[in-house]
Amino acid sequence: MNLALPDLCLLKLHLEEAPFTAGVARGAWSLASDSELEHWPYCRLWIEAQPRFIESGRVGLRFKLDNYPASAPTAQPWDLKLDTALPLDKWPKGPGNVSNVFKPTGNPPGLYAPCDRAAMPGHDGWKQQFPQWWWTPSHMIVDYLTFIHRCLNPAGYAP
Amino acid sequence: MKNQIHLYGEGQPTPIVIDLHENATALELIVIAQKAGALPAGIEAKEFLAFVVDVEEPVAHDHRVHDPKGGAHRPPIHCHRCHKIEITVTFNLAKHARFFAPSTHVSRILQWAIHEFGLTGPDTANKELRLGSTTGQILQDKAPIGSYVGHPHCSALLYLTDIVQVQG
Repeated sequence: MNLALPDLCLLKLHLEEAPFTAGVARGAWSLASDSELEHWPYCRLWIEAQPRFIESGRVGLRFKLDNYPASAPTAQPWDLKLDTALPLDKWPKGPGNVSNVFKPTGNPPGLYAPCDRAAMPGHDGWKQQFPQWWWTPSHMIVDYLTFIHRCLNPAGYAP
Repeated sequence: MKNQIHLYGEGQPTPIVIDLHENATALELIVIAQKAGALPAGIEAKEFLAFVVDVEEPVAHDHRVHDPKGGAHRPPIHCHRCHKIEITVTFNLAKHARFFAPSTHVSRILQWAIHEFGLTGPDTANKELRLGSTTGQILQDKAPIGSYVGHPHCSALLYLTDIVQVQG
């Protein structure tokens, strides 16, 4: 790992802070492996998901995080076992923001979210609609993870 | 992580990590949290209650904060001076109120509110709780409600709202 890279150093710092580690401890998200930061600016994580949206109960995401956190992350659904992009027909599907957010945006496709750099251009109205989620340099990777986790695990849902 | 614990302070929804020795008690945790700024200083430590997050009753001050299964995973802790917090939820001009432990997950209060307002089906998955107004701060599902409530108020006014859809 190259510690001379300020974006990588800041990400590493944020991955060690309590908001991220508390999510790891409760099984909400985690790095896909211990060596993820060796592939900078890419980094794979998984996020917990209700099985009705994706059978495995987890969604893998491959983030691109260059210039973090000055630039917003972008993330692509990823098959963590095969280490390849998740085919579009296997992206999570569901009501509300599940299918809204897991809608291919850009090339390579990012998520249609107010914290994803692939979707933010041309959506200035999201600043007012999603002030907590619209990415700014003061945000951290855990904010992106929290937004996606909320989409995939609606708290009010009782099976 | 063996000697670390996630702690949510009074009115602080962002947790902090506290380093603890293996046999530390709840009271020691409170003192350390005060020194770390997660709880107000200058107040007798015994005035704070220590709760395991999402457990109704506080632990005794001499209780060892450890993994109940004997492993290395210590449960997150929430400290607050209120024993109960009165939560009032407003939705479509109607209100319901109830007392909850400060340690109660926001998601549990959301589920209670959805039940009280008689919502069923897809409506249940499309709701969130906001603080103070319909455009107020969105509460994090897995944060304890006391992390949004200061002392001595011991009460909060929440709004049940539709999750804003990502469109455009």
